[in-house]
Amino acid sequence: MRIKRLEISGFGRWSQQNFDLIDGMQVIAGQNESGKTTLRAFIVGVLFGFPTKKGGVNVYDPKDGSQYGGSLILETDEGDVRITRLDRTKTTLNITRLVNQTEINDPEKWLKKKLSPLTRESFDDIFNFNQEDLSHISQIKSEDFQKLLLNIGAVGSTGWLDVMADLDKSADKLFAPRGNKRPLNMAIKDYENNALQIQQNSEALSDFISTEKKLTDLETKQQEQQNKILTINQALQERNKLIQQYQLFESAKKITIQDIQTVNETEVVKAQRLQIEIDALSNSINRHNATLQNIKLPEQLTDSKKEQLLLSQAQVRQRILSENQTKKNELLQQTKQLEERFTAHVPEPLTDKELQELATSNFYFYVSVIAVILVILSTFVLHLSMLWIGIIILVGCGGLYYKSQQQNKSKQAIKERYSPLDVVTIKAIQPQINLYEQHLSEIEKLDSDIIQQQDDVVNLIKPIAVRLDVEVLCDSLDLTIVQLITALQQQNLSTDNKRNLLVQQQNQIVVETQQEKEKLNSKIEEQNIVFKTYHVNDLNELEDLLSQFKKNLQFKQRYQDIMQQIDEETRQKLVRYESEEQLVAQQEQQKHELAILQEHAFKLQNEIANYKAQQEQRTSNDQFMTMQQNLANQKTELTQQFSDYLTLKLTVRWINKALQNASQNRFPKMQELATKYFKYLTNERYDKIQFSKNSLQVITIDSQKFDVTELSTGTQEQLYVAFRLALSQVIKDIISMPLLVDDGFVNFDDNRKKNVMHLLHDLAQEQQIIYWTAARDNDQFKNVIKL
Amino acid sequence: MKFIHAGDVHLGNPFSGLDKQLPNKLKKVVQSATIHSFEQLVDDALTNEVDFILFPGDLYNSADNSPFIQEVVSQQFERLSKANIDVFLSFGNHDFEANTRHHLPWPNTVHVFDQKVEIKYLTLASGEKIALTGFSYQTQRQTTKIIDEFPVKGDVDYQMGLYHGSLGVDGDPYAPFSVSNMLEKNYDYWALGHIHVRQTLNEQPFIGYSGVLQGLNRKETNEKGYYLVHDENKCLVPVFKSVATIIWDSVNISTMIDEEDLIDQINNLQNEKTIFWSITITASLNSTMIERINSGVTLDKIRAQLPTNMWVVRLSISDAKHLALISDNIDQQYWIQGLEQVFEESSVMDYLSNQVPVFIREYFMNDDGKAELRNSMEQLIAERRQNHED
Repeated sequence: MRIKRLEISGFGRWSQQNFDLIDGMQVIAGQNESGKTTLRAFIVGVLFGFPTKKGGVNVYDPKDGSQYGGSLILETDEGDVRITRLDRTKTTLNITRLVNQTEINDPEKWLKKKLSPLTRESFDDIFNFNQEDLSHISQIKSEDFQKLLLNIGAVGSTGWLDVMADLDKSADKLFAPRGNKRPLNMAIKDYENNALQIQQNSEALSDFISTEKKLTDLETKQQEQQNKILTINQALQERNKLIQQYQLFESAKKITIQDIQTVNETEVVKAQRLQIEIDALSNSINRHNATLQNIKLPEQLTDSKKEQLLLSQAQVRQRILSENQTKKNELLQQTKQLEERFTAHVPEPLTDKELQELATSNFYFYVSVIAVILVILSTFVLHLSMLWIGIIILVGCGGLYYKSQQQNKSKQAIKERYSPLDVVTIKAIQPQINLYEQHLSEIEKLDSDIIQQQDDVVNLIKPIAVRLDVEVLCDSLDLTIVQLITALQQQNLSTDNKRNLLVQQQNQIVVETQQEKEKLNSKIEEQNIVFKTYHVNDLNELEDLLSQFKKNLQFKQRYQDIMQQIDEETRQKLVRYESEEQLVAQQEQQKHELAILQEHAFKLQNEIANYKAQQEQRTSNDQFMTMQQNLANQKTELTQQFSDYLTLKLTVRWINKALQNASQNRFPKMQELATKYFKYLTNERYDKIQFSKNSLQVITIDSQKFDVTELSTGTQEQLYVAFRLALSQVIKDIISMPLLVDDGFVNFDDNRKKNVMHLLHDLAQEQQIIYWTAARDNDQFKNVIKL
Repeated sequence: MKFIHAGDVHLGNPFSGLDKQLPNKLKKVVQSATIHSFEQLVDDALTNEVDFILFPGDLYNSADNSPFIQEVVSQQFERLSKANIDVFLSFGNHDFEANTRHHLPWPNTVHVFDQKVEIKYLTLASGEKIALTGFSYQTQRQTTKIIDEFPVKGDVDYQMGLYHGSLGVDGDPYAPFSVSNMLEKNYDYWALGHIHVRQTLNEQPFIGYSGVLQGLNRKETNEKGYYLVHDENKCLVPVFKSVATIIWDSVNISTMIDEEDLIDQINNLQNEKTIFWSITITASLNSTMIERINSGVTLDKIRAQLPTNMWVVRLSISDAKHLALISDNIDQQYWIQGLEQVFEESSVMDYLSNQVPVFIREYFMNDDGKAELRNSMEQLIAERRQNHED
């Protein structure tokens, strides 16, 4: 498509003004405010509609009141047409085919179709740019280019782009890859929670299994416990029975049964009977023996003769006694006569001295007196020297005197003693006194003899007298003796008679005794046989044995009676106990054990019941299947939801792909072309352009990479121009519109400006380019319109 | 001799592809479907007085399960044990961990195969001596040809193999094997697991999959169950027994007058069984109808009028050549080319961030997901095109 002519009715500063444009490169030169931009706006306005006042943009109302709008003469594939758009607010569009001056029906539709797929925006984006646009290069993204290209490349894709946007929006409402509020994000979370819950639930299985094992163990334990209780209960019952029977058993135990030979009671009776007989016989024998012993045969005659002899002797002794008596009596006579002579007692006979004393009288007195005279004489006569002798003689005389005095005294004493006799009688009586003394002693002697002899006789006859019951008369012993002799003779006679009688008696007893003894022996023999049988020595032993036997028998009976009440097994058990206390203690112990066991059993039972309830709850409340099914349903739903989401997302992608295919891969072609242009514009400094996600990068010929923002303003603008040119080139098979360039290259250095002009010139061979410039020097261009 | 071969019981496996609209009553049936089918199998085992049961893998859906499931398994094994029915169990890619996880104590009539190939012996009441060879998965993948470790038939009356895997070559993920590998072993029966579609790889001796016990998604259509195997002249012959509680099915509707007619046609599909339908409309539709269907309005209306033992899981319009509807000044070839480019570029992942669950990313990376996306994209473009034109 090519613009041949502008016919402006009224637009901004232009009124009733026409401009003819050439094919190829049309340069429109003018200074600032010469209406360059207004012309550009006019072209776009006629093609795509006039601007509205919304947004406060310049609407280019004509200043001189001319009708708003105007026409463009376009060269199209259907021939040249005049497109006339008038009035800004109530716009009318007319299109006339110039070849036949016919109006086109529904010009809007026709024009839209002709411009399709261009919109005002895409036209501006591709074909219409100014200096200001050039600075936008840093904001350009591949997506924008792609969209632009798709839109252009796949005619009618505008709708699909909307669909894409719509679907994408819907999809993003469902799910955000890193979000958590969208329905699908929440559904995932919900699903994962449920899955986790199931996992936890399946962990509960191990609890279930372990509890089941525990339960089995506990039940085994319970069984054991119950067995134990049963056992101990039985034991306890047994124990009770044992305790009940223990006393019985104990009494039985006390019965001591001896191993005693059986004793036949009749034999014991026999032995007893025999004993009685033996005793009777023995008694009889004894009695007989006693009788025999009691039979005292009278004394033999020899005895009586002895007594006769004794009596004869006694008669002799009696005679001597009588003589002594007589003698004594004579002596007593004589002594009595003498005693009668003295007033007092018969005095003692005088001693020789006394007799002298009685005769000599004062001898010492005289001697002494002579001696004194002799001394005095001697003293005076003789010498003094003889004094000492004198003194001695004097002393002797003293002594002699004393002596004489003493003799007198004793003479007096004798006289007193012999009073009333005088001295001569005294002297004469002396022999008599001496005799008296003699007689007295003789009497005394006779007295003792007489008593002695009397005693002898009495002693001699006394036993006989006693025997013969005759009184002993001491005064007349001789008479007594005679009496005795007579009695003795009588006695002898009776004794002989008695004796004969007794002997006869004795003989009879001896015979009887003899018979009894024989009988006794046979009985003893008989008894002994019995004793021997029982190994006893006598009846007592036998009777003891019998009584023991009987007692034993009783014991045995009693023992058996008791034992019949206690069975053998119980007995064997009872044997092991020493006392009832031991049993009771054991019973208590067992009761205690039982109580503990029962308590344990109770606890165990509770525990088991608890576990069982737990297990039952676990199986009956088992939500696993429900949870699993719910989870499966959730999976289904989640899958369905993701299917929806992916359907949306992939459909977007699909549409994109389809559009891109339809646009015949214009983007890579565009990129390639842009690179080529940029390389040319920069004098081959850069040989690559690449799009990263959010930015654009260029690479120098020596592989240095620059972000677009790192480039100089000029280079950035050159990059932009390269893209714009490439864009218009790659879609020229679909649509070719004039390229409107409004004074674009002010920042280019001369060299690069030359390059861009060169490039534009080249491109203008196939595409109309309308280039507005403020430059004055445009000599190299043909048909320059100067405003 | 009688025994049951039941691969892929998948106890506790939820149904996939259902949504919140599923009525509560059906939801309960769904939740207990795998359990119920399993219980039905045990009932049948007791009624038929089988000698033993083979579970060649994927008894559980995953190593994670629950007290209830454990209780069910334990109870049913106990029932079998009381009836003297031995159970031979190997774990597959879904329940590979189950062997190492705790489970309730099982009766000693349950024999679990080790992770190394091992032979278990069983002498039947009849005196027949049986050998069973199998292995359990160690990991979710079993890329070696475990079949090579299986010994040839020993001195027994019958030898069976329990094998969880799929046809393939060394390096393939599920214990790859070939039919000839199995035939070489000279076994009398190969009880296969892993493939959910019932199929016979070899007639005699039988090598085949009993398939999943209960269909788990709209692709696992028709009757599902187990094989009841008996011997006929020393040959082991499997007979299929259906126990699935819920049957998935699909139907194409090629002619329809209007929405009411569509609802009538769907209601006429009712059966005494509980069936989950996937309905594809191949009939040509006007744009209003298409929009109603695509927006789910029609499905809601259909569901509101369904009998209680029926559910329409999905109502879709057949691929419908949506692209054919697109006509504008952008060349048809650009659209086709663009769509191919979109999928060639694996561009799905550009939109799925890490926070998107893995299963979604995986789904849309695989062909099913891509096909679904392609279909819905075409529908969307078709709709927009229509708008564009109007």
